[in-house]
Amino acid sequence: MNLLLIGYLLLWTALAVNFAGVFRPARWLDLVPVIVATAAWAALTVGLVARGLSAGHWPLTNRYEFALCFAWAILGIYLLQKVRWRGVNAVGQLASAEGAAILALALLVANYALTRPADERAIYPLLPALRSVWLQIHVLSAAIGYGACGVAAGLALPRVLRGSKPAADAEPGIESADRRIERTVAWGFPWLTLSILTGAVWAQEAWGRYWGWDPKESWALITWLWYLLVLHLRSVRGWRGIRLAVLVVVGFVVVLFAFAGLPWLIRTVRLTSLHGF
Amino acid sequence: MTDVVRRAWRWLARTDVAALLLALAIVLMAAGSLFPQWTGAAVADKTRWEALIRDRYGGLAGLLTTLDAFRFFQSPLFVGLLVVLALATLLCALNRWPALWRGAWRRPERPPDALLDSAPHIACFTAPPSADLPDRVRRCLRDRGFRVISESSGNGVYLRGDRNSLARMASLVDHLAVLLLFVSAVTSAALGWRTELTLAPGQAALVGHGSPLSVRNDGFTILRYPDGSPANYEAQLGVADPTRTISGRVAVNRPLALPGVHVYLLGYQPTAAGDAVTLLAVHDPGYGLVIAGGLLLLLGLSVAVGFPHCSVHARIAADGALRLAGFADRGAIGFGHEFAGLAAELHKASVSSP
Repeated sequence: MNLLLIGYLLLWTALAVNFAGVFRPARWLDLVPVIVATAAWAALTVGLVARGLSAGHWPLTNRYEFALCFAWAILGIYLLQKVRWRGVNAVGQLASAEGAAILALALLVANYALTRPADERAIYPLLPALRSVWLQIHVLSAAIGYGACGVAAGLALPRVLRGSKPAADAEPGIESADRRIERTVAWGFPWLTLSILTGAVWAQEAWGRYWGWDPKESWALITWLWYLLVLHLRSVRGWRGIRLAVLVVVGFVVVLFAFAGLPWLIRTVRLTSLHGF
Repeated sequence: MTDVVRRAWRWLARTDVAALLLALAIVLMAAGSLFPQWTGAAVADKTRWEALIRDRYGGLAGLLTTLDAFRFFQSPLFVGLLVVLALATLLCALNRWPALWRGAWRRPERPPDALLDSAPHIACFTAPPSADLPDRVRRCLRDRGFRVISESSGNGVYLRGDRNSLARMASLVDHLAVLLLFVSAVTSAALGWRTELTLAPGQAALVGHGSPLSVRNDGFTILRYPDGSPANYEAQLGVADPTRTISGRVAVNRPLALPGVHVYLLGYQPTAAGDAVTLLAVHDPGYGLVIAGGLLLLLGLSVAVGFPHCSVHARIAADGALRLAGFADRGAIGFGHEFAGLAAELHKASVSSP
């Protein structure tokens, strides 16, 4: 059976268990969704590696493959945080709510991948312009940066829904959601920067200019500026907390638009773009 | 007048003003991305471009052209905003430099007592009076990667441990990197040039702009995958300067580097005599600065994210009363946990010591 499909189904399972934890908190419900999500991530990883081996190049060359890597990155960063922040991460109902939000966003991206037309899911030889090591670094760093934006938005969603009420299960020693959101944005931002920088290097090699105000380039910069705005506002009085969380959620909408919405904009207002995805 | 300049300086250096400028840049860029942009090619293309715009936007074409909608990213409005943003970045860096420099390099061993009482992380307990308590605190901090300095006074001993204290400079490095990126854009626009050349087989042409280099189309090849689809396009070029002629290859993603000029393969057109190739000769002195600025920015961001600054202050009174105070950047997730562990370890060691 298709490993990518197994990963997708496991993601749904992890989401369902997390939802159960939101409504009926239990200690075991902290651990089970993480185990299932780890299995989903492993299946996605093996599926992507298998696709890369069969294509003869990294699976980063069209919207289908990028969406798969994007979902893989959201899941990977979520699991990485579970390991790195052991002991200071949220527990109980809050952990379930955050996990459910992050997995829902990963599924949103995975659904986008699985609903791509068959010709986009097929494997083709690499176009000449895509035969560059800079493409691989550019797209992989974009996937990781976007993944961090997804995780930050997943942490921010319960924070926005909770409003100004304190977390029901806040415990001593547990880092606040606000700090974890800020930290996730700060972690993802260098990846977004690396993506733009390597994209500029690639553009210089392919087209002889590092920046051309192509719609995709403009929106990559808009995304970068949005998170730069978030990083600046966290030190401005009155902007921490729920306002920043709202901005982080909106930031992910900007990310999704820059990735999935831009082709629609290009078609609608009849723009031209050198970028295939 | 001086007062006005000083107030303008302070206003522009504020973080909330920087955020406002960033928000404005986002809105303007989103608006600019709704219109096709004129990239500044040959005059014949411009005539075709104007016809296309008239056809697409009808009666609004004139108004939109007047509003610079099709040259939005070169318009005075957008360039003006970038200039103000660059100025704000510079002023912010200049304003913060002295305090951050002092914080990174010249730290007082003994903080004001009020600071110890208002720290975000505090622990206090009284240990049996012991001469080696300062050494124990010092050892505990060093084991956790803190660099420790100390000062003795009549009130007792003050110790200060810092970890990643230079990380505070990362923000300045980032601001300087952004300025370098602005400078690189100006350099590219002011000193760079581009020439598009379409060469029939065997035809040669000067790359222009006073360069003595000329390039000749010596052949064109399409490299193919086993299934017949194109794997790459490659042109064989003869390059001549007043002293010699050399040959070189240019392919997609593989420009030909010549002194001061890079030659790119843009396309090809089959003709009866063979394949004509379209080349792009580019001189861009700003590109190296972009790379330098980008790498500097990455360095600053990575240091700020990976190495958050943390500090622990200890005041040991003569009667054995120990007060610990911890401070950390907001990025130091888990510092509270670490601080509690440090306090617990010291408390345990102090109680169990003879």
